[in-house]
Amino acid sequence: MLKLLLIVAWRNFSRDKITSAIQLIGLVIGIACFILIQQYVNQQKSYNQQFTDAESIYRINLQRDDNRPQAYTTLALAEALDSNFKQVDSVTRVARNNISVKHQQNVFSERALYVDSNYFNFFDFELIEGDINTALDAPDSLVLHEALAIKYFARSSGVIGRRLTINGKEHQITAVVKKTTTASTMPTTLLIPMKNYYELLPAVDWAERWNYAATVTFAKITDETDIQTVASDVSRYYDSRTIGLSSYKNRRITFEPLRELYLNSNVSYSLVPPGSAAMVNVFSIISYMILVLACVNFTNLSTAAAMRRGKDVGVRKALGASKGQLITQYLVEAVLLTAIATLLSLVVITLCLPAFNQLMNVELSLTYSMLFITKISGLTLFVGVVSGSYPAFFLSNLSPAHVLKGLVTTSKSGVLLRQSLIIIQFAIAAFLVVTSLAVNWQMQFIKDMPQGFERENVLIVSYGEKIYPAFKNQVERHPDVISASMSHTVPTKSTRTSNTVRRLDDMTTEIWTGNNPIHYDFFSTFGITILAGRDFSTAYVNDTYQENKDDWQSSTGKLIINQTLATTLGWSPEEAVGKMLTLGGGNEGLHNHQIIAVVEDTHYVNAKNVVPPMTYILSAKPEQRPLRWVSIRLKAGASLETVKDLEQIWLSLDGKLAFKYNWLSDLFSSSYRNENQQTNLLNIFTLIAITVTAIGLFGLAAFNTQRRIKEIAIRKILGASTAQLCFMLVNQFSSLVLLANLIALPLAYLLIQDWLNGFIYRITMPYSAFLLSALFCLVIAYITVMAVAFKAATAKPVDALTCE
Amino acid sequence: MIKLNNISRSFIGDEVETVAIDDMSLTIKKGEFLSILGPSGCGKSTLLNVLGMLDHIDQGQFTFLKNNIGQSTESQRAQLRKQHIGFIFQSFNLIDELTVEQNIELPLYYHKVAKAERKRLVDEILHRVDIAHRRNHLPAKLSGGQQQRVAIARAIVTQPDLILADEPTGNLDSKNSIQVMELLQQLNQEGSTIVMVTHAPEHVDYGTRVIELLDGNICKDKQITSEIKLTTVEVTCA
Repeated sequence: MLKLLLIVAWRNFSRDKITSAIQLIGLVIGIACFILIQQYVNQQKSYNQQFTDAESIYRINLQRDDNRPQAYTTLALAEALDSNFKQVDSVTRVARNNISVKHQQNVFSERALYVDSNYFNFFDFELIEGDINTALDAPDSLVLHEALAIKYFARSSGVIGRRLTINGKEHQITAVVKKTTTASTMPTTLLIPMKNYYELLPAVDWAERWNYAATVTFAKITDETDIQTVASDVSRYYDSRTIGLSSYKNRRITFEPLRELYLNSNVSYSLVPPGSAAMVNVFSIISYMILVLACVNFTNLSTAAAMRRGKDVGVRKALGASKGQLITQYLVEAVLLTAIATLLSLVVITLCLPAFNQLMNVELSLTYSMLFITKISGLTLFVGVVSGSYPAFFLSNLSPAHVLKGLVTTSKSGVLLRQSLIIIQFAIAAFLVVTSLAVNWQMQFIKDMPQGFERENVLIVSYGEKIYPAFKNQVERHPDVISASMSHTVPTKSTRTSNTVRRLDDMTTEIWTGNNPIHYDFFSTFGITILAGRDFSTAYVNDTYQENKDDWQSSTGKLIINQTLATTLGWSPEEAVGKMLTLGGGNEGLHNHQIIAVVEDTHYVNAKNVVPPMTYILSAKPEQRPLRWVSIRLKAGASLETVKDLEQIWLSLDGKLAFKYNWLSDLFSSSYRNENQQTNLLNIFTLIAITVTAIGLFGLAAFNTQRRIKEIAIRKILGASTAQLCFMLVNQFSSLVLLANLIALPLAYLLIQDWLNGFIYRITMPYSAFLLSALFCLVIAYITVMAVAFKAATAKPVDALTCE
Repeated sequence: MIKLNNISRSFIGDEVETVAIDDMSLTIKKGEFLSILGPSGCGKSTLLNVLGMLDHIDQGQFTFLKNNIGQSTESQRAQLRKQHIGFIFQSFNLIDELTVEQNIELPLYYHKVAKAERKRLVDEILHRVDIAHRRNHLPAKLSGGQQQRVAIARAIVTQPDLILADEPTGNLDSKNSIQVMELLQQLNQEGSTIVMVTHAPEHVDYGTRVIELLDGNICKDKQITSEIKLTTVEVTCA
């Protein structure tokens, strides 16, 4: 019996090849997209699941006033938690820093993690070699990730005991971490004992400073119910230790579960760039939409094709087939076709995975585990039954008497169903078109908006404050170098120091500002326009910022402020120049400084954040104030040779310090990498959704036209022109497409409005996108149907009339 | 009006070439009511399709109102068809979704006749074929005879020079058949040229001339005069 079912199914499949192929292609695309996106979504949700204690590990976030919470807390927090809070089982700290690794004659720059010796108790990575319990005990120990072991020693085992020079100090390798396929928010790089991090601090007492936060602290808490209490206790404790140390009034601590870290993009300074929960949800929804589209196609085309099988039903019923038997027959056919589609879609996924991985910067692979196979089979059965059930029940319900007389074709409900399905499809397509247009435009807008600096031809090099004065001196003599400067922060990086400023005549209004200590030529190097006043200059001895901690009043130094601060203070740029501002507060004394210039607003983090009020102070001796980035503006068209020259100069000044550079323009684009990726993915899925919809429409149009072939012939004989006929055939779909747009666009409107409201700098509601989407859908529908209509309209009428 | 000189038309099916019209010559004068008789497969419908320019010829010469059809383009033929020919089919071929009135109006619409004029012409023809009381019905609600009267109305509403009827009574009972035949005869008497394919020898009498086809050629050609029925001029088959 099953054999017969299969044979009939196969024969039906091959009898109407075009419809079957269209059904199959639609299903393959739909299922492939669904599986692929679901894999991606699972991967995004799987971060940190690999660690045995993941459930009881929390990251401690710090929120200062109403700023974004940050992952950085003070070094002293761990000790305090250990001794004062018994609910906390254990604590571990992770700090990261760029280091220079010297191996043989080469110097490499790496981003290392400085970790406490109990690091592996929290993050139990598998080791290729070494002892997980003792690997980080010795102060000069070093744990390498597999990839780095291969990089330095060309092998991943047998490297224990080998040495690398890190920041001028020898370290001995004690363990190698195995590469995992599972994702985590712990960067896989070099692990160095925390003790070494203390040596990097500007002064020993920084380790005890409660207002210096640059370490990520993790805590293990087994009792989940304690979290709220612990959080508020620790908040109070933290607050009590920092009160009066700076302008922040309030510090709050939150405990964030390790497993939720990745998709919470709200916290700054996380160890790896976070994903976006919203985008993951959107993709998940899109994957279901595409699957629905594919199912709809299937249902639509099989009901259409079923009309041609009406006679088959009549005969079978007349011969005594029961309704149940007929339903089984049609469902088996649907599931069989879906199974073929699933197999094909697995092939498609395998082919597309490399491109997808590259696009999304992930490492997905298909593993045929029992679970996966079960899921896939379930999906097949589900899709097959869902999309096959309407045709099955519809066909099995037909009255044989009617069918044999050929009266099936005029079923009103069938037509209505098919039309509603087309409307659903176009509604989804229109929705996706209009949202992806809006997303693209908004992203373009952000990228194109004035950033307040010139990003081309600028090299950013990290660290090197000791060699900087000599370096600046030498590189500025290079013919391709326009200027060089050094600063605490640079555009595309966030500011990490702050000031509190007041007007002399209004001491009660405190304004929080970002602060950027800079060296000479900063504004010219970054192309930041000075709106009024003058730049810092060596011609003025008093420009340099100098705090006198014994007598705050006698602190010296000039200020340059940005336009936002001038506006906040109530001054125009011209008015602001020459005015005095009062800095300080908290446990430091007040001190006044004169504004010498107002510069245009510069976006530091990226344009998703608002430009904060900013002060710039001059740090004439870079090693005194924490300057971090060297920047070099080159002439347009400077070659890679120039960069090599610069590296030579750098290394001649300090052979142990890696010349780690980035182009500012690259930093700028990479700050939008996530957005770009997701926009690209959205575009691709929109395209796929439209394709699936078009395929479905093509099938339905072909069927409809086939059904009307005689009518077309009659009209032609009566004198209708080809154009008139095409228009008639195409037109029947335009009202459906327009209706679909009417349904989808209000929904899209709400969603886009909501999404755009999340941006500070945003486009106005792009009404033209709605118009474009409707037009686009119409054009797609027209082209698709026209392909069918033209053929029908130009056919010889006599062929249609004689095939009675 | 129509002149066929040694025309041929064959169909190539699966490995077999079927000759539907074999070296046939025929002249049809204006005002004639020509019936075509013959057994199934003798080429009647093919001949009618050729006359209606729905089908092309393989060989020979076909002149329609002094136009050389053999060398015309598809769009020229469509234009001639539109201007001069009305079709009546055995299965009526009314458009199911359109009402009686709309069906009749359709060719006028394609002829770009103004709306008011279309209404007037449709009104007139509805009364003429005595179907005005059902003007807003869909074809499915009509009897066969009524449907065929609508089809005839649709064929003649543009006042064509030539009416081609393919077994117009084939799907009708005798009472309705007579009505349809009388209508056709009346049209002929009013000046329309009619070519009709039929299976029913008794309907031949409504016309003015009858030819009989066999294996793609004419084997009998008789004139019918109204005074003396069945006066025949025999032509032997070639």
